[in-house]
Amino acid sequence: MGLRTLAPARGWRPSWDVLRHNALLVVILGLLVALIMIPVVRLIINSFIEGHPAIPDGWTLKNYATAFGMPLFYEALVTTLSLASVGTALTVVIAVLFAWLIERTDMPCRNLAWTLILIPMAIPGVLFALGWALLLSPNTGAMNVLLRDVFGWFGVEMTEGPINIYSLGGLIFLDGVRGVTTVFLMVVGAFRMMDPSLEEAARVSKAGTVATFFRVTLPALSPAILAATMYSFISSMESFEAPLAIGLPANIFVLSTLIFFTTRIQAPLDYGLAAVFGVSYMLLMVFLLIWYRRAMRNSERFSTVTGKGFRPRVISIGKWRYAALGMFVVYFLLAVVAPFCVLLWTSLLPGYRPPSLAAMGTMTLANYVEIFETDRVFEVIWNTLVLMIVASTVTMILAFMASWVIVRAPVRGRGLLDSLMFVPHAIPGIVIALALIMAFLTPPLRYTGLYGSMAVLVLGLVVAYISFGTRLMNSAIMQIQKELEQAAYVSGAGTMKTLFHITLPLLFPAFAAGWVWVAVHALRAFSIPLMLSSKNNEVFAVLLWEFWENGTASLAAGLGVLLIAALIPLTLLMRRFILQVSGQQR
Amino acid sequence: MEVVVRDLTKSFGTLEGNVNALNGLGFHVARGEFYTLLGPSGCGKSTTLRCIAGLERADGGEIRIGERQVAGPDVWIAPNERPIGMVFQSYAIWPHMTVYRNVEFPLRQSRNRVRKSEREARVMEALTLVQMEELAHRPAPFLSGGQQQRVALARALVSRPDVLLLDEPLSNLDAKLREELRFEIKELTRRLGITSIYVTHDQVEALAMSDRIAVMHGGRILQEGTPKDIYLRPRTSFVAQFVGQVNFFHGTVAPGREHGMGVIGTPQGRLRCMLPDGMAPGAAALVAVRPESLFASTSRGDGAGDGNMIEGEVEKAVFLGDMVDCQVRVGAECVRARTSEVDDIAAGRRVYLRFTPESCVVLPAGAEAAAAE
Repeated sequence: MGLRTLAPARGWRPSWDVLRHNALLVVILGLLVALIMIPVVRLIINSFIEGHPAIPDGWTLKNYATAFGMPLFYEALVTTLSLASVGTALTVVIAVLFAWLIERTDMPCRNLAWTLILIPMAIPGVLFALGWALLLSPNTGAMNVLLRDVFGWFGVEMTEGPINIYSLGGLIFLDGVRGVTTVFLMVVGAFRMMDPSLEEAARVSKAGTVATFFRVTLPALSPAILAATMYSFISSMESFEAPLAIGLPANIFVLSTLIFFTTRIQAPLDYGLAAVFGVSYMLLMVFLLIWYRRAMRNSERFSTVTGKGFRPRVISIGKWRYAALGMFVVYFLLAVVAPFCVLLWTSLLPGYRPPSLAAMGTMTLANYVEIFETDRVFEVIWNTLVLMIVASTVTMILAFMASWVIVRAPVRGRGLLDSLMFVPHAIPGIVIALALIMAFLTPPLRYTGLYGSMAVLVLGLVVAYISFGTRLMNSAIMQIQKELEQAAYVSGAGTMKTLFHITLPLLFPAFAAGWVWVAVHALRAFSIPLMLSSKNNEVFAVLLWEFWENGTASLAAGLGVLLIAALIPLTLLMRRFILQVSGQQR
Repeated sequence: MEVVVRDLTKSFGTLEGNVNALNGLGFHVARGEFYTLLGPSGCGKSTTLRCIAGLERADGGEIRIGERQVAGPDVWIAPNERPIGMVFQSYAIWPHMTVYRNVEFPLRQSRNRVRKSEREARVMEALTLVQMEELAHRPAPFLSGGQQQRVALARALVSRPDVLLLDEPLSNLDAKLREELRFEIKELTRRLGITSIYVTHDQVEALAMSDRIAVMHGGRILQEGTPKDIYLRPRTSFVAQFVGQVNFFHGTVAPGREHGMGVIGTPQGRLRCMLPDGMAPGAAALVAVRPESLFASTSRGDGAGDGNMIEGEVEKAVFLGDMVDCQVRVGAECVRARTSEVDDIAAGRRVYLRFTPESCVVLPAGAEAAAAE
């Protein structure tokens, strides 16, 4: 048709038929809406209720009055924002520099660097934080001891420090280093796809390498960099692990740890107050995400990345090559090697001691033996596997069906569904968990008796990752020619049969990539399992934290080493899958 | 099974407001007939076919397949419940399956599943029909365009549907293959005696394959008839132009007619033609003559005789092997003609164009305007 058809003028009748003939589809979509809306609504309701959610004391505005009259709340808000902004600035500078060095210059070992920069993804945030706690705790931190020794040679004697990780600076450092991989991955494609003639034009106009980089390359890539910056900022706003492990001991609160503290640590627990924090936190994130989406839409219009397969020109940076390599080595030491080695070291000692020859003599595998002799450990491993497999399968199947309705079904209100699927993306994990706690402590969901079960944990992760899954499935379904599905209808297959025999197999690579992504994230998930943990649903990361909290750092470290060992192959697998998918789309 | 379409209407919302894609369209396809919807893109032919398939829903009207109403006010049969097979323009061969699996799909997944024992025989029978039995176990991505189209045809036929719907099935193929498949499809549907509805914008395809053609424009049927009817006796200038090349001469009916034969006065001269009934002297008329009916010659010969003759100057001549296609300037008009006087025709030559009264079709001028209302 020559006309650009926006929507069928009276499109509701056939759509109704699609749904009427597919009760299962309707039920699943209904569940999905309930899954997202019930906790959110429950959270908002409970912010107006006094007392424990299970035994409410009636309506009140007191929670809001308390929260907004609390200096700690404002303090946490300011800390959250400053941590996110300074941390993001650090992340972006490092990541953009590496993207340029690795993709466009003759830095040595570029291919190796490309793979190594992915390894931080295999280290869960909580382990990264614990590793650095061991490295830089003021008295016994391995790196502090080393630094003091070095200073000692120059005659400077110190009894503690020089660096204290338990500080806002420490948090910012951890956040900044932590985010590099994600931002690198978000901008590296743009560096690769950028039209090299833009740079060549600058060079023939007598601009040097540095001037070209700052005057031409960076501005041309600013949409991609801006997108990655905003994304990184939003992730930092939600960070929980480092603020919990490093911030709480130093009395530094961010919004996420404030909620955790109010509902899991302080006495008496105050769910109403936590709900107010949760609602405020959620609103803040919603505004950030709306701003992010709008900026994305605008930036696409000025896109300089054409997507044509250019052969990027490699820029020679002379003797600076080795400085560049040195910088990368330092980054990799800080992001991976140092924290991992200290965890490994600790896991081999009866109790943590700074590295020394004397300590080396006490090395033992006893911790690993003890881990596997702990009664719960097999249950915990089983729970972790179940969580990983069930959460990723459920997430991806729901995402697939929701995306199909969003992209294909001639249903009114699918735009609404699309927006709804975006909502969880705006909710920090800690708030999802809080909302689920409240939902499962109050009717009607209370009667399911699922509070504290694995099922709630699965739900929490499904909600947390459904936005990602839907986005991935949306673009995958859009790539599938409509006629392939229509051919199935006229061959006599109904909607569900078509979905599972035609559509799903066709987008299987994308489905598998999403599955592995969710599995990796489920395996290292921390905030949601910790908030929702009970004795029935403990997973690896929670057990690890428990060991740490109980002062058995060696056991925690041993568990961490095992977890990282499991995550490295999975991470590489995920990367392969995702490369395959993007390769197909090209 | 016969297909009846009645009063079909449909509109689309577009940036410029609602546009009517179908305007009270209706037709009747007899059992076993090969019926073609022919028209330019945007005329609503594909929309009509997709309404019959159930892939789109009309706003009003009724569709029957055999005795059964499949779409109408308060009636809606889903596409997978209709007794149809369909071939798509893009073939829509599922790339994750082999040829065999593709063709087997309708037998496995439809409500009236075929028993496993019977299935293989049915699939191979369908593949044999399209001469693809050798490639049954080849994965679909390893097929050429022509092979994919054959598989698509086998898939559409394997469930022995009552009606076969074909949506521009040949438009993605190269010219030679197109010609080959054109005859194959025609032959196959005739052998099976299946009712077929074919959508195309290619008039050669339509003329070669169809039992009957409906020429569509603006969401309605302008003329329906056998290929000969449509080509030789177009009722509007749009139809005349769409199903082939045509020259138009504008004029008025002169007084006097005998045995239906009359004279139209045009700027190019007085033309003798068969006058349709109801054409009164003085009425504005349009004389349509196909280029192949105009014989160009460099000699004046005996003049017009019983036929018509006009005179002009060759503007362009294109050598086509067995003949020369030429554009001739006749007064203000440019006329296309053909000639077998291959040697003599060249640009700048004075030529005489002869044509018989029988080859002229007289259309009431302004018929187009009336039809488009």
